[in-house]
Amino acid sequence: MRVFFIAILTLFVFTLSAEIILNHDPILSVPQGDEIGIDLEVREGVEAIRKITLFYREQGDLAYKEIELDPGSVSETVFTFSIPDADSYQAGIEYFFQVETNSSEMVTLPAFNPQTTPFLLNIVKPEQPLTTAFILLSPDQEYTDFSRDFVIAVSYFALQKSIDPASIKFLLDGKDASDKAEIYSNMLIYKVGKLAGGKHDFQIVALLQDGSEVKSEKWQMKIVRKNWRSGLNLTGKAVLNTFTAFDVSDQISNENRANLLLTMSGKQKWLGFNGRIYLSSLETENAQPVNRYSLSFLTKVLNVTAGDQSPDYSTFLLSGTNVRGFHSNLHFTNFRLKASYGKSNRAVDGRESFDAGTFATNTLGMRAEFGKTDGFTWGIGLTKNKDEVSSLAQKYIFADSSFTTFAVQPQDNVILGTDFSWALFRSRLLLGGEVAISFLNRNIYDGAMSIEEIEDSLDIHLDLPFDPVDLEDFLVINQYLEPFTPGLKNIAYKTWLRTYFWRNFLNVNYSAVGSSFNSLSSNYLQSDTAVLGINDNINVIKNKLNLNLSLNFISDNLNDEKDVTTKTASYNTQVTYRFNPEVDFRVAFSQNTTDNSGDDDLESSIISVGTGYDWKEWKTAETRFSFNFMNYNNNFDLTDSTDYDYTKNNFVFSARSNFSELPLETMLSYTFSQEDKNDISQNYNSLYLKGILSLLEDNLKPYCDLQLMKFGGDSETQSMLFNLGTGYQLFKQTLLSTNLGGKIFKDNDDKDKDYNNLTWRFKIVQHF
Amino acid sequence: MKKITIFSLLILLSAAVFANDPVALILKSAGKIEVTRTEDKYVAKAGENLFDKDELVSGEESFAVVKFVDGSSNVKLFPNSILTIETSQENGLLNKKSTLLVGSILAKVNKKTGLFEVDTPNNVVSVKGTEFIVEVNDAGCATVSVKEGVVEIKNKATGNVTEVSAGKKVTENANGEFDFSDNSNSEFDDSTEGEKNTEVMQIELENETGEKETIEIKFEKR
Repeated sequence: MRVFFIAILTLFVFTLSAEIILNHDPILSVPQGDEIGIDLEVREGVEAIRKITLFYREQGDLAYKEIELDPGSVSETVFTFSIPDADSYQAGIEYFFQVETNSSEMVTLPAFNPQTTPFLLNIVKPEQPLTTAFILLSPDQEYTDFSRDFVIAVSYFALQKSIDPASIKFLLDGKDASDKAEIYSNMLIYKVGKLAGGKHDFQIVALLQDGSEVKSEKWQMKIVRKNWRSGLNLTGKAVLNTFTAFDVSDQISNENRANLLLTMSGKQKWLGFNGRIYLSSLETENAQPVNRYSLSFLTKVLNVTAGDQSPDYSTFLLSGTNVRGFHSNLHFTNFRLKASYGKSNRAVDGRESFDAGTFATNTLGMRAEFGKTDGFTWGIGLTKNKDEVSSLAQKYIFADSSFTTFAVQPQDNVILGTDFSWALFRSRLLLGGEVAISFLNRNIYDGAMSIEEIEDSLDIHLDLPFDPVDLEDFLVINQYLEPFTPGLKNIAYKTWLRTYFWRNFLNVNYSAVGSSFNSLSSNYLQSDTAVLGINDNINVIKNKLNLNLSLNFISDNLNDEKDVTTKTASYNTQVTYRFNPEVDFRVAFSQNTTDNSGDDDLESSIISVGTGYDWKEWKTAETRFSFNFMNYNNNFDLTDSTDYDYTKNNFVFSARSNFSELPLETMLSYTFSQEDKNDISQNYNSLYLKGILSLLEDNLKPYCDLQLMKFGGDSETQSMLFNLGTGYQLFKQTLLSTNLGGKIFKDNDDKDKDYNNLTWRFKIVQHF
Repeated sequence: MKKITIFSLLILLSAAVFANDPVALILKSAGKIEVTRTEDKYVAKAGENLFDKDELVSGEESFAVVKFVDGSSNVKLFPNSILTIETSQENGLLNKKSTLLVGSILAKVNKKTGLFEVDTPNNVVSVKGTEFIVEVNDAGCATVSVKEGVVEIKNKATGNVTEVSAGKKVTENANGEFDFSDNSNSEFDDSTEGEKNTEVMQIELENETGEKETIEIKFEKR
């Protein structure tokens, strides 16, 4: 754990000292069901970034999911992550960013303990009584024939006396289509006519007589137009992305990247299918695969997939690992059976001064579950992971047991687990538990030992009922097998409770992973660690006030095998208040304390205050103003190193305007930061301007932006970034976009570091 | 007095405004569905809205599915039927009172969504959440078949009230008396009933020279 502790510290120091500076202004909250885009700004060092990853999880979950993005151009510094399954989340979303540099170093945001003190995004549940007052009359699941022309009809009969008919707006795919709708005082009818095939959404927004806003649920529909594919109901898209960086100043090498994504799905009677191909120029032989291929066939009770998939069996068995092979999921009301077999990749690079690549690991997983998912379920599963010795170049394998770099030795791993879940009160109360045991052989290079070899090695007579060689296909048994001792060392377990009553979402979970428990198929599982997490999210005053409290306690050295025990306690609280639809206010405080029995102590705290105001009275351009202040305070008290104090104050002011008479949207943002690191001070100023035009009935959207950045203090640098680009809807289902960006960097202390860069991006999206 | 007059005018005006609002929507239709509104008569299609006191007449092999504006109930009008829809508001609920002059309907009604009545020449059928069929023959006699819940039938002449429970069917005879029997679930299978079912007949002909020709006849069968 001490190594882990120092690693975290190193990570943090790197974050402060490296030339990569990240900024993120947390979003207050989003309504449940809305799409979620999370922005990360790279203020400095984008050219040194290989990969940016967003880790996210629903509050109360143990494991994080991840989304990777390719680095942007040197001029495109804001990266937006879209949470793909956001509409399924009921609790808030916790997230943090991880940036991997070209030299394999990691930078995270939040910089310190990001897994335990992540950012929090509240999910605001819609005001139920008003939302349900809108009734969808048509399309009707039972009677509407989507292949013919049909109408959308929404009734607000229950609001007839309180709604302001003049304020009723019908939004189709997010655009106001009220002028083509028949609006009555109790119902709205929209004749769909020739709407493009594919998925569409629609919603009604209106004002009540008292001036408050009401929104209907956002309904979705899928329109299938008869064409040559209609027999298969085939839909999909192809996306081509290219990126080129031009070397202007001989400081940064030229770079070309491209990727191609092809997805399709369809249905023929009882058989559905979907396929996905992702090809990237970043695919290399000695690294985790980037390319993805998958083809799935779906029926009412059985799904079969060939290719890449990340199965989710349970926290300890199989989670967050891409397995390229075959996957099946047999699902009935009272019984489900999942199975996966294929190859995953276990990275072994970065541990030494060479780039060894990855082991190809054969992964087999099976899980059976009994019972109804909205009642009581019991599951049992098994996962086996075995490295292929021949998959790694011979020179990188160290079979010698005296060599301590176990990572470059082929391993064998078996995990057995069982779990249960129980849903009560129409799933408002959920509780569950999970327990697993593991066997790990840390070096299978020489294969299994026979009884005679074991007896010779231990110099004793063994009366085993089996020969370990016969069990080699299940688990390789030799001198490198992790001892399986009675007790909790080889066991991992987790219990959890979720309740949702009176707009109060409470989530309590406790997990402990023994020091000898190992799962090669569950990413981010920290051995020898216990975690207690408590999250409470309360919405009161008609969802205007949101209170969130999160407590996390982490402790290692569960079996008292180490000299040093580290305990971390994190407290996170956030209060959000929406005075009215125009004004909101947020204040948040988080504190993280790490207490190490070796007298290394870390303390960090973040205070954040933010407010936003929609100035709708200014009819020329409705403008959203927002202001955020964050204070970071960190104190490291180290025995073997210099004490470390770090303070940072960050102010952000932004304004986003939509002009009513002009097809123009503008953004303005100013940021000021002041940071003190021991006796060294540094400040940062940034001004960002952006304008987006919307022409040819929103089909052409040219834009430009300019950002001026200046660092002052111990080191002084200046940057100017700009972008010119446009998106163009060439045809109904064809979208083109391109971007030309540039950066001019000047270092006042060292002119040799000055550079200028140009980048060009091109993207084409074809839906079908 | 002046205030009372203005108030009365406002009430009348608001009633007139509500009267201009649709009360139902035709979700689906096939064949010929004629709607008579005040003096006007026109052929209606799916997606068209219906107003208070609209009369729907379904032709041969025609049908229509009507959904009321409160989302509470669907009424399927079978071929050769005449239905007038009439609604009123009470305590925020929409009372639906339809008159079935002849023919048959299938009604699916949610509970606690206002009154739902079907007026036939001799009887009034009222429900509070159920699925049932009402059929009126040329003599004005009604047959009521109930799938779920309980339906109440009130004879207009005698005032007698009869309850029909789920799984039962009552048939009114010429004397105004009811005969009880069990119904069959197939009566409620509305997926194809009333819709056109096309079949093809092929006739092969051969002339004196041996040349063959095929005549293909498409016809709709119920």
